[in-house]
Amino acid sequence: MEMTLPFVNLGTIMPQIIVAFFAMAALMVDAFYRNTRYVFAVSILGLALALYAVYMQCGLVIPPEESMVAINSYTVFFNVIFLLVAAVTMFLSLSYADLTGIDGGKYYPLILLATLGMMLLISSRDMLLMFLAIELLSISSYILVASQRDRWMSNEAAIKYMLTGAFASAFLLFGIALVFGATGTMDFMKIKQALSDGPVLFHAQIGLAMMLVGLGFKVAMVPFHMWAPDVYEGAPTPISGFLSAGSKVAVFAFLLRLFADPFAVPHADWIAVLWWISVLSMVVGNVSALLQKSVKRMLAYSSIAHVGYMLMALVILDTRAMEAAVLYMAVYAITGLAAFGCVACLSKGPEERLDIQDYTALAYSHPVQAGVLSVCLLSLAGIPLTAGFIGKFYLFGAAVNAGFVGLAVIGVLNSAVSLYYYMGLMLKMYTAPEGVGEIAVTSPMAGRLVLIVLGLAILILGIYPSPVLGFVKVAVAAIASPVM
Amino acid sequence: MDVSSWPILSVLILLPAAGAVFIFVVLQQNEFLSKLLAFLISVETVVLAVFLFRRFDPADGEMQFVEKMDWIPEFGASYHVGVDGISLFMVMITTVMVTLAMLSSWDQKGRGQALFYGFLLLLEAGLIGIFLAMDLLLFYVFWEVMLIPMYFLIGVWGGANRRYATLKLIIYTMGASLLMLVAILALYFYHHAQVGEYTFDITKLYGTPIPPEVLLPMALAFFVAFAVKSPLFPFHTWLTDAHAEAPVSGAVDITGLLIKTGAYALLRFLLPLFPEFSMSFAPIVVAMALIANLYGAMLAAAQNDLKRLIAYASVSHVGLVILGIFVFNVQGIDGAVFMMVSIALCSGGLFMVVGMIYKRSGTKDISQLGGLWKDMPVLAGFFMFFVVASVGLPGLSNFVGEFLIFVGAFKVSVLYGVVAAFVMVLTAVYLLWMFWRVMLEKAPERATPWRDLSMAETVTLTIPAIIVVVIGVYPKILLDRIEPSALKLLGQVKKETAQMDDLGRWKSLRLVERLKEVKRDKPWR
Repeated sequence: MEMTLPFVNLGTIMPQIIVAFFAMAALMVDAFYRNTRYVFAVSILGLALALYAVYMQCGLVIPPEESMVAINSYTVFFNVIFLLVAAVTMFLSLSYADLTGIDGGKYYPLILLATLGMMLLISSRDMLLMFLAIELLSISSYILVASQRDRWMSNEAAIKYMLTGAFASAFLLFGIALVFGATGTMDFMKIKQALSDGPVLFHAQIGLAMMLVGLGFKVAMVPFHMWAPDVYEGAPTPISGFLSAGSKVAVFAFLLRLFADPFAVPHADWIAVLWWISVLSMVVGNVSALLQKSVKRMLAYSSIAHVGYMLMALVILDTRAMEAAVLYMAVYAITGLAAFGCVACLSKGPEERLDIQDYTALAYSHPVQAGVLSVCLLSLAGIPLTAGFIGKFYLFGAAVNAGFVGLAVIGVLNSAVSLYYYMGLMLKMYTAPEGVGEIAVTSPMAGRLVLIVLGLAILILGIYPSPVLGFVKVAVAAIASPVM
Repeated sequence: MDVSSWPILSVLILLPAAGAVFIFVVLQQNEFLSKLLAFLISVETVVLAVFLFRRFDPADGEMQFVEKMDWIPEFGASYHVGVDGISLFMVMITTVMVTLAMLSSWDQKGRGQALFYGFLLLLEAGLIGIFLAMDLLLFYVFWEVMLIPMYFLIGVWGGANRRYATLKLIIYTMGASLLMLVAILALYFYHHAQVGEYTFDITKLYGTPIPPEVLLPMALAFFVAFAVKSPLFPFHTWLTDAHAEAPVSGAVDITGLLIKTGAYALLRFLLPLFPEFSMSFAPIVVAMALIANLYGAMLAAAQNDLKRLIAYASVSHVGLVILGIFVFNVQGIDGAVFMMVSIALCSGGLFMVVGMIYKRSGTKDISQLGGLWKDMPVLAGFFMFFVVASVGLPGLSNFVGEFLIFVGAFKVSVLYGVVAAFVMVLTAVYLLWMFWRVMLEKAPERATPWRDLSMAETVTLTIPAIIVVVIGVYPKILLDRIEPSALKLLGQVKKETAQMDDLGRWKSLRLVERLKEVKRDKPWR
């Protein structure tokens, strides 16, 4: 029997290969040298090279027939975000890991593997690859959440995450099976054809619904959000940031593609459901965040609310809305990461500051962290001159433009509610200390420097967003097939 | 120094903003230097404002010193600033009052003073930005950004019940302005639907025909946002709490809360953008304004807290300002703008005096004060001066504003004028009664007499007093410059209303048809 090996163009997955290779290399380094600094250096090197490889892919378009992996400006845009998120998470973890007893030797390679999962997910053109990518991302995340072995909370969070995650994966897998059964193919393009040709089969609809449920768990949209606060609270803080900025954004970006680019889920059937999920996510996230005493839980609920805002774009789903969603995700990735990063850099020794009361008068002992955290909170609240405002503005604009004024009004009212807890935390930090203030503890340079860069990025994006808007437009043009 | 070639408006906005950033980043630990820097910058802005005033062409009702460049071309937002007769005096009074605010809180104690001055500068930048912005998005940015320093100034350095006050402030003002954002966006897209150009430039947005079915909610969103900020009668409750809990030195009272951004925004944005709404709802708004005028005065009479009393007095005065705006004649608008300047000076002066009383006595409670005249004749003199100025003594500034507004009101309806004039009597009653209770009534026994005003405090109070006299005696300096702009504004409003009657209505009907078509295609809306 003659067997022809398919022509493999490794160039298309060069960044992914680099990340995978360096993850393995870092694990080897850990095995032979047991020096976390080396592991860190190797991992960062891997990310830098992958970033370069992604950069080389700019402008490249691979025809869909040729590959399970898509390359277009959308994937390039998000791959850059994921790599940067991973790098920032590593820098923020640098001192945090030493303080809190995390084994850096496994920690950094796992971040690389999770990043690999995100990168594969965003460019997958095949349901099998999609599932593998999500599993790679999820399993790495479970271990990362549990990486503070001595801390009870961390382990509890990991178990919760894993149980719900497994549940979600089961939904996803079953959905894939049903869609496969209905269409007879794994390939997105062919599924699209099958779906658009004739009347959509009932079990294909069920399959799509189950896939949405599975992905909904991963992005923590209401009503599949229960795990998020516990996991975000229990996980090591940089990982909480990584989960909200990285994995949530990755799955959401994929969700957007699922509706727009290759798959073209029959959108009209879903508008009502998505509308309600979006509104509920906003309301539940914001109202629950009001009641929290722990900063990490508050940020977790606020991240649920932000998923609600992003879901507005899925409801509307025209070009403007998709641009808004992509911009919002980019902005949220920076802001969420920086906010959790500030919390991580504010820990006193192995103890973290969780309670909002612990933040009283921090601006006078930790001016940098408090300043950056304030910028993040303003951005999350959507105050002008921060990146968050541009994101929200674009999004609400898209909603008004498409005639979803009700959704826009609910969105802005939610923003008004969210101001209360964001501003409350800021006020706590700037309250003048009574008696002797806390003595400033110098935290490591690397973390603070990264935070300053992130804070400046948020402000610059808020004041002069034009260049990024250009990228966003190009990125969306790659996936925006005429949906309407 | 030759400043004639500078982009003077941008410098007016950017200088305080840069100063604030510098204080936050570099001088955070050094209180004296940041105080000094902030003061110097605020003096510099006064100088620039005076320079602006001298270069301003009084005969021209158009925007002057216009600067325009692209800001976010993708959205059609531009950095577009300009000044006309209405905003000129708002900017001038802002710079003066911020400088006075810094002087009045010069000897304030406690940690974090550097940040206090940083936030004051930021507030100044935001306020000036509001008055100069000619682009709706730019305006919105300043409008919201201004709230952040205000929130901090009250929330960090305020009184015991500050958490409640700041919460109320934020929820009221932000909630209303976020709804305005939706209306701004709607306006933006309607304009695009008609003209095919995405822009936030208000000179281009003026006269955009809006389908009648959405006109009301959109205009209401604008109106409520401005009415909350002003504050107009049913939306005023946040103001008294904010004043009561604001830092006692009075710095915040006289800057953030008294410079009436809301009333200004009504003039600049609501009237020309929604002329039809403004004209047809004028009777309702006037009714609200008169209620505010009367009700504010009545509540002020019942207050026992000095700051709350003055806050209600300013609610009452703002009612008068809004009355002046919505009678739609040139006297009314002249009077309203003049009155805004005058309120800032007179109420600002009162707030500063109260701050100085508080510094000595530790209380703002009227029942615990009394007989202050004996201990502090100079302070009492200033207090008397600002009280009679607020009451509207001829020869002082408030009189001119009130008189013009009355003339405007009588032209429209005798009833408006009579009610407003009646309230003026009431104003005299409660302010003079307050003066009597605080200054003259028999004093409780005090161990040591309170010290009279220091040199610095005297200077601080003299500056607004001089301005009050000057513009009261010779209001022509202001009125000459306000009038062309006011006339132009009125012309615009009336012309647009007339146009709306024929051409615009037809256009908007067509738009409704198109919207209905779109709606049919997408039923889930």
